[in-house]
Amino acid sequence: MIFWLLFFSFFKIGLFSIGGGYAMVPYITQVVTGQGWLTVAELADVLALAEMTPGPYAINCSTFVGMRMAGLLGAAVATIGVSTPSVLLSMLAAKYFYSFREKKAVQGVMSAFRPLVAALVAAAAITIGRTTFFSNGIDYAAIGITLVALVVTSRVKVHPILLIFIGAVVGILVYAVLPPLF
Amino acid sequence: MFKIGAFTFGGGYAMIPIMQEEFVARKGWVKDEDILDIFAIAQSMPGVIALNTSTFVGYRLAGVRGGLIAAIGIILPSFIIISVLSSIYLLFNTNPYVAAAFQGVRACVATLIIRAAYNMAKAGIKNWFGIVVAAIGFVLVALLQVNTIFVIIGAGIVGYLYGGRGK
Repeated sequence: MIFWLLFFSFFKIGLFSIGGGYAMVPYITQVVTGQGWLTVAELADVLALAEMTPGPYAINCSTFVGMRMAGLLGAAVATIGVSTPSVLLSMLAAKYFYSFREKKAVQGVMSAFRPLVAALVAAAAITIGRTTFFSNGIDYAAIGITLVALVVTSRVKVHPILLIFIGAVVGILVYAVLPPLF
Repeated sequence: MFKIGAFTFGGGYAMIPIMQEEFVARKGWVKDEDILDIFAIAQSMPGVIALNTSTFVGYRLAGVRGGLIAAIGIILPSFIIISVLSSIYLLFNTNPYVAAAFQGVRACVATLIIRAAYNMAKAGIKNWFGIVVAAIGFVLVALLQVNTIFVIIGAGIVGYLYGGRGK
């Protein structure tokens, strides 16, 4: 039944993702496309939506996928699924916070996780880049926007939401307003 | 808690400064030194950082009930908004202006992720071990599409063995 599948899949996502946010993109992509629930392009859209709205990406994802596959109840089930590991583990960690920290084994594991998280985020960049730039032939305009944004943000501090908003405006200009003029 | 969920956009790392301000400066729930540790733990744990952090703080303050209420507070605003948005998503998609805007947003999202990857690499990769883990991890996940679970568990084991040698 879809509800169990939703709960279980997102529970796995909640349990096996580290580093939060973008680092979760690869695994979420694997699970969600593996189930045939969304395409990679649609996941990129969910990421775009998640950037524009409050809250963590994983929560947004679970709500969105759950909603699409099984309405509001599906959204609730998926979201509870993804949150449960976090909530349980966090309360455990809170209880044993101070005794855990010093253990060499824990530090060892964390020392491997930090570089891995960087790698996962890089993998997310590849996935999103692929679908943004190469899904309908080569979208040079998108590549251009990304490059310009990279240069600008490395010089000037731009709030992510502002950047997204600018992206939306530029997108409208570049793709909807300018082409008919030529 | 509800406020934090409602007023933080962009997810994950964007929430950190806001949580810091709220938890430490405004409400005095957590001490300055501790908040960094809590973030570090929340980051190394599975799951969503914001959720981990707020549940953690909620639990410390008010036991299991505190933890649960904090968790719900962070989740609820997102849940409501995305539920609404996803129901209209299909409507959105067919409008050419909206589709155009989305592509622009996607390009900027790509920028944000690239920057995040760069910053994380700078912060997290400090020695040869880090480089090796990151490189292998990247190849496995990005190029070979290996199931991320195995990569994470593998990294955990490697880290455990490496750390256990008393570096």
